[in-house]
Amino acid sequence: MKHIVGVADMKISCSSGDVLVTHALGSCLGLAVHDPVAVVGGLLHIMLPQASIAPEKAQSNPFMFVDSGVPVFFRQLYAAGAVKPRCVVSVAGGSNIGGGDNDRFAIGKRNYIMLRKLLWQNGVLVKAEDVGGTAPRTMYLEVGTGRTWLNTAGQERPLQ
Amino acid sequence: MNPTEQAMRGVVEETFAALAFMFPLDAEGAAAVDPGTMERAVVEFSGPFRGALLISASAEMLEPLAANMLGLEDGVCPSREQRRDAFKELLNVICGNLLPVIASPRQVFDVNEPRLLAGEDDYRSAVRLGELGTIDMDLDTGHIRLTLLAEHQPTAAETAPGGKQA
Amino acid sequence: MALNILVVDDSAVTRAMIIKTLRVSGIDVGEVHEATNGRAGLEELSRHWVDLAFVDINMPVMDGEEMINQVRENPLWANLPIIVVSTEGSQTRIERLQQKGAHFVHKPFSPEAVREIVNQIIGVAHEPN
Repeated sequence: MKHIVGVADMKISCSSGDVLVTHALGSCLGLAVHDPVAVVGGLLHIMLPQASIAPEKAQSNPFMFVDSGVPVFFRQLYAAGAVKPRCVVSVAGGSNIGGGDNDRFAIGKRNYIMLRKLLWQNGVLVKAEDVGGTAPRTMYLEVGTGRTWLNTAGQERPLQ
Repeated sequence: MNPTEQAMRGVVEETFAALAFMFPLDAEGAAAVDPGTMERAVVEFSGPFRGALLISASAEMLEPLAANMLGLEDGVCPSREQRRDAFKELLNVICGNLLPVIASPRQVFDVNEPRLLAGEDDYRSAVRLGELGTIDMDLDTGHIRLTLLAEHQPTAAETAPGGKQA
Repeated sequence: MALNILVVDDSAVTRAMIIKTLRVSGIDVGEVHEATNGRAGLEELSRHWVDLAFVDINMPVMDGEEMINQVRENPLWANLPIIVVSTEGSQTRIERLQQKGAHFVHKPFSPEAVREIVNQIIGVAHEPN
């Protein structure tokens, strides 16, 4: 069964028949985490790097920001049975939609930098990533197998 | 901004992002800062030409710099020694990545150990090196200024891809 | 089987970053020895069983290239896996080091790049003859 993850949201599944998908990863980041032993998978769609720019929004929805959303996401994965050393992490998005010098605030790049900082702090390494560029991405995670793949401009490719 | 300064800006942005998880606040230009609140360091190099890279950074930047490089948990403070070491290593990495860009990837440079400069050190007047470029940058954690000094502008031979080797 | 590691770099922060990378990579890390220059690195090698060495290039007292030269001249260490972790951007020097059997990771390094090279080395070491 396919479950769509919206912007500033996340979903976790323990059903091996589920596919998690999130669309329109432009400057946003998609973070897929999978525990192949417990068969637990989660997909997070984050918009902005730091909760400090809008703490009240982070309170009501931590998944809007990298630094508030990613820790909550991992805690909920562990609560669902995922074990940290087994988790396989994939990242996609962080692009500069529109390209050129229009991206004055470089949100995509900042999201990615903030995520890398957080993962390094917490001793989490990334298995696969597809970030940057100028095109939006759709990201998929197949919970039963951990397979992740992307769709960009109608072209599918594995994330590995 | 001359081509050397453009190269400097590119290398500095990439190094801060990859090594210290910091990003610039603006594409160009920066506010004036009080030199008394800055930490300074220099790294010297030799090879096809001799030169030095000088950095000034807001003193308050050194703590998050070291903490980010080490991956410390929030609230864990790096020691004074760690902060200084991180600052010197940052300069070392910027220098090592800048030299192949402004010269040629075939050239071999020897980069000395970076050293901190005391507040009153007037390094530039003590060395016979010309300025190739200076950039100022505001990052999310503070301000930096980077100055590249060298005995001469890299020659065509020194920048050629097949380059004459030291 | 745990790997005994030697990390040679004049920056304590960089040594700590390499060691942290190894510990979070799922690599079975045994003893960890550190040195601040090439000469001290050779002394650590002579005193301890080391399975894998990380070596910087630009260091005081003795640089990494000279240390690697001396390592390769010693029959005891001729096949020691060495990973150079350096800002070195000269293709000329990198090729010289690779010809001496050293692997190369460029600074600033991602932990994933270090993990990949270590896994390649471990994989090679465990391939059946």
